[in-house]
Amino acid sequence: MKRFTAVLPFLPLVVLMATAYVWPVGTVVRGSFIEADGTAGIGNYRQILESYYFRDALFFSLRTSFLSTFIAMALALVMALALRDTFPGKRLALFMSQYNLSVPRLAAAMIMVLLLSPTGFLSSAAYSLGLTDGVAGFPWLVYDAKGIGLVITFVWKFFPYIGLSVLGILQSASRELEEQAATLGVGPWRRFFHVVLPTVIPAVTVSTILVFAASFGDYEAPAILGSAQRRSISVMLYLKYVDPDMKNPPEAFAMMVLSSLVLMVLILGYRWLTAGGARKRGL
Amino acid sequence: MSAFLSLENIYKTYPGQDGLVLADVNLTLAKGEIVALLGASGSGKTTLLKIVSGLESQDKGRVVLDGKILDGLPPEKRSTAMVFQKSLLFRHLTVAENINFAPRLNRAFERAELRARTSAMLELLHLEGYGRKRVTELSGGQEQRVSLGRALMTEPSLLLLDEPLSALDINLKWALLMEIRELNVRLGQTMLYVTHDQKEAAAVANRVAFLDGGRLARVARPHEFYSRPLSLAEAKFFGWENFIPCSLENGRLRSAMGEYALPGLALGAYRPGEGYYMCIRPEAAKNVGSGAWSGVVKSALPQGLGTLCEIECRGETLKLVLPARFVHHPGESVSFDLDPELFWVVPS
Repeated sequence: MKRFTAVLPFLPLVVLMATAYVWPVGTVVRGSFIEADGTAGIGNYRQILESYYFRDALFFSLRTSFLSTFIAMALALVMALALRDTFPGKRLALFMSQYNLSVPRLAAAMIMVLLLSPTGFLSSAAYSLGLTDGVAGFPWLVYDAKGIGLVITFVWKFFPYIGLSVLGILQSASRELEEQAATLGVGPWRRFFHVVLPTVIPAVTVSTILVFAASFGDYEAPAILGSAQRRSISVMLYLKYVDPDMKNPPEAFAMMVLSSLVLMVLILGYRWLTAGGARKRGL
Repeated sequence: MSAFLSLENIYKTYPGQDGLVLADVNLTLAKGEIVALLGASGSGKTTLLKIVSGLESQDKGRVVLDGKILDGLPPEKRSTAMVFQKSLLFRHLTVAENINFAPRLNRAFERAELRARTSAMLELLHLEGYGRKRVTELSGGQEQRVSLGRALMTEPSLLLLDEPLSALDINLKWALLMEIRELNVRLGQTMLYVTHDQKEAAAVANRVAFLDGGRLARVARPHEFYSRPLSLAEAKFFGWENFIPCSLENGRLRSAMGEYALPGLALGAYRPGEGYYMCIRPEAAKNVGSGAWSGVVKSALPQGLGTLCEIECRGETLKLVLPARFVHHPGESVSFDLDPELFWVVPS
């Protein structure tokens, strides 16, 4: 009875979680095991795993997400290191580096089309400057099978997430620790590798997971900027789900489960690696 | 006294801040000496310490350490080490790794020697057995000991301490002050110690440099500040109270409270006709209950062995500490004598 009373205040939350999360996920998982003839089995999973298009879409999404996260992380570190000092125009630089946080992802993708497409601003500018001899001379940065436009969009959209979380640390704790190390006779490079990096790693870990998951699951940017030959996992999943062929939704469910599992395994592995490092370092 | 550290005509301003943070500061330290930089908040003592360490640069003046001009050198190129108010330990390292942080990264010693020196430092700081522990497992006092050890491991010519004990409780503070003095004696380590606490300065330092509003008001032995302050600011900072306007006539002090002989003064330093303050230490009250002075208690604040009372007496309000065995309530009359040894006079 006592135990039940203790749980009582959390009951609304449990009900909310059950209806908003557990029930839909359960429906998807259950649906993924229902085959075309209505019987239960793993046929949908077999079908998907044997599909070249699924494997290619998964690889494409993982590759663009990895690349975007890595480049965004590097850019964010440079941005945070540049912005932590006081200098004339710092407020403007700070605004410029984070205003894209307020731009919706759909709008970000459309901005990239206007900027990077063969008839876009950069292409026109290159032609006006005599750098190219027309639309054909400008490289394909959007609608391309390599996903260059996608990576650029994700980096542009997501690097402030990592940058701002690192900047906060660099301006406070890290600064004092660096000064301490300097007064002990440790030079700037050693300070960066042995003081700055270990201090910002926890914030980088969390924010890169968020960026990786967000770019992996993003639908708007790949739908607008992706090519017809290579689709991202989210676009493929949506198309499968809305396909009028009734056998497709269960396959879409199986695809959802598989891609979620892949993402989960990757995030857990990353957490385990970084947590192991942190444990080793006593963080 | 030959100067080991010499600060010559140091000036400092901060952009956007009115006035000088430091103005014409001149200070010398002998090798093996501890000098306390004492002053109120905003007096410029931490700025001066940062100028010596290279974390700040002066607008004018020179810093010379052991014959070498330090101006323009970054902190890591100066043979100084600094201990801050916060221990600022590296949380990702163990106690031993923190202690040998700088010599390990700078590859100052062979591995075996580094290990031996780290063990010796842990022993010196009474931290044997803590080497493998995480710094997150340490108490505040232990953290500050590790911070001290980490600085000493660099074998600095000059150790700079910026209020290193101000975050610790009183008992721990006194224990560590004694340890710092002991380290100074054992290692002959020269130290510049910043504090805003006059008791701490008196306990740790051979000499005290008193900074007032960015100017070095006086450098003297600690007891001289207590017994013979030279200005009102100094007197207030070192615990003098009861500043009664007076003048000097025929070698005697004349004030609203009466006329007194100058207590142990070098009379030549004072000029008749000029304005002075007669200062009376709160501890000057004696013969309570049977003295020749009398007054009415306005307020009473217990302070352990004594009670700090405000007493209305001869048109002045005196702050005096009376023995706690006499219970005093506001409105009660009290009689006492004042010890003339605890009188002093400063220019107004």
